[in-house]
Amino acid sequence: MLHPTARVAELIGLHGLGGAKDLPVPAPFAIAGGTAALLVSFVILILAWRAPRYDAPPLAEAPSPTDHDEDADPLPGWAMDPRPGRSEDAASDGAWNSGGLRLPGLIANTLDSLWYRCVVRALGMAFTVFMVYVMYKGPDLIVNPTFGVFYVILWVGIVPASLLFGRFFYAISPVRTLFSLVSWVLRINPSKGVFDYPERLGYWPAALGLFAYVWQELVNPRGVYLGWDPPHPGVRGWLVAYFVIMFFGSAVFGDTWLARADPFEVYSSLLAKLSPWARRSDGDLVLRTPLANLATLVPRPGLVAVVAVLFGSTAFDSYKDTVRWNSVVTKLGINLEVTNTTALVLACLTIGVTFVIATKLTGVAETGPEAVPRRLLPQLLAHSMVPIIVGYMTAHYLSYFVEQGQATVVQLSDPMADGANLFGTANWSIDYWLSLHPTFLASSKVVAVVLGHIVGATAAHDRALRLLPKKHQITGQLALLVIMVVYTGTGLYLLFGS
Amino acid sequence: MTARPRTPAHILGAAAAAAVLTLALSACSSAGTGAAGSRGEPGVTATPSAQVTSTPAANAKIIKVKFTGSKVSPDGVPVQVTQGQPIVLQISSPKSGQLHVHSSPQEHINFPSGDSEITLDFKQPGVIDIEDHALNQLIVQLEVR
Repeated sequence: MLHPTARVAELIGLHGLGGAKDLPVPAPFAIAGGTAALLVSFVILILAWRAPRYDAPPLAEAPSPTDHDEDADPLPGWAMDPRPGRSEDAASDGAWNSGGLRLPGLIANTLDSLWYRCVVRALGMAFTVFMVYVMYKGPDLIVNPTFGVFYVILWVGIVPASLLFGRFFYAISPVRTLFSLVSWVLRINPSKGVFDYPERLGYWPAALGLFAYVWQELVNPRGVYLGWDPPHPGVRGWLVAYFVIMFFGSAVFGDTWLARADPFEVYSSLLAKLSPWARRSDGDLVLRTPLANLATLVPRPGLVAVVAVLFGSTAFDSYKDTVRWNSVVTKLGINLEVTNTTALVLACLTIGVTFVIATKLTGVAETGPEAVPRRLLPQLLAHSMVPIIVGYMTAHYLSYFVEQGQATVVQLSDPMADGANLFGTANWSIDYWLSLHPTFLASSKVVAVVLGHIVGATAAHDRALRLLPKKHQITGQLALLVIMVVYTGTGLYLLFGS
Repeated sequence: MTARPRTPAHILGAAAAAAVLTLALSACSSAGTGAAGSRGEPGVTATPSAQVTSTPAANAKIIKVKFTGSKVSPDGVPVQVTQGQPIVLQISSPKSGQLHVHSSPQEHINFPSGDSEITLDFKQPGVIDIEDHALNQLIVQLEVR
């Protein structure tokens, strides 16, 4: 150490975790191509996709479709989770969440079996216990795998895991497992809290939790430390707070709290709606096309806030690393943390507000059986943001996930940084193939963003056909189309490196 | 198995279990360790200019980094280099310090007070930030093509 006098607080990382970033994508090509692809696909949708194909949630004044939605996963929960029964009113043809190809009995029974759920939960718990040990006993160095597990494996890995396996985090969630265990020991029903969860809160607690996460990752100067430096929590402090809030919340509101407030579970379950796995409203496990599955996302208050935080924070993360943002920060000369927090809030607000305005700018049927309250339009169309988020997460994190993910697997074998090789991966070398093929990487990013927007536009178009009266079906989508073109253009511009 | 309705005793039990768990977890959470310095990344040390014998290669990119007070110049400029091209950092600083190189894996460069020099090269395309962590300031952003 050459400057032992330097205070810890001064050694603030400008980055979260990670080393080199990707080279920028050639912009004019990407922006022109991307926005054109979106416009062309919109025209094709207007001409060829004239009748709605997918579900729309039943419109009670406050949307409160069946609770079965919570079980729509192939990796179901703990033994005490009530398997949704066959209710009389569900599953009539054409009803909400009733489509899909039934899984063969053997597979469905295995996925629903007690032993399978327990094995998956035990694996999740075993890994958690190992990580808690590493987090408390390991050195507070950048090579401690806690950081890689928290920022790469969990936060980025949740995307492919949920797209492939459905509600991944729900299935392994350590808080859910612990809460189920405690409930089982005390012989109480985990789904019945002291109070009912107030449905009008919807996903707002999760939106706050997700914001707390992205703040920790992108702004907090202690983001890559374990220990705290008051008032800034390190990763350990963040996780303890997360655990306490989730556990006590479940004790008060039952495990509905975890489905609405746990940022990781809500994020994972949102992404799972783009997976082929679903549980029908009659309780059967089915396979569906991702778009059909996405249409069964239950709109709730705060859903727009959740997607706005996910999308806005990714945009901010891209912009934060540019030379331009650096010079803005230097010119402003205000505290970096204040500047970045403000910018992060503004980025999320911008996405949320523009989306709300764009979805409300349409004519609606005010009365009659087709009537749709205008204020519900944003949450009824918010599912169309999920594929867009997946597109940006892919573009933003592809090389980071592949390369930092490998580094984390290497570090996991030597968590105490004492030369151990617990899992035989300590001597692996990291394959930088992606970084060494920048053209392939850049093209993949453009494809991911554009594909995300096209799938999103398709979902929005289908929903608009159900929600909007005939005369507004095309004009009613224009504002949303404009905002999506702006998102695509801005997103690609940010990937270009501005 | 049908779950029994919740009684105050059950709620108390759950709360007590959670409290014990919480205390156990947070008890050791307060230790803000985190020694100043490298935190585990590999590091190199710049050579004092007086001891530098060789001149930079003809194709080398020379970047002069000058610290004055709480400022550093340049303060965040993009620099384009090619893979394998030598990058010579000529550092001039009234006191010793440390630069952070956000390559993969990350590295740090210790430099002494006065004038010093270090040569870097990167074999892999990407964007690499070189920062001074004490000032919390980006110095150059290398675009390796």
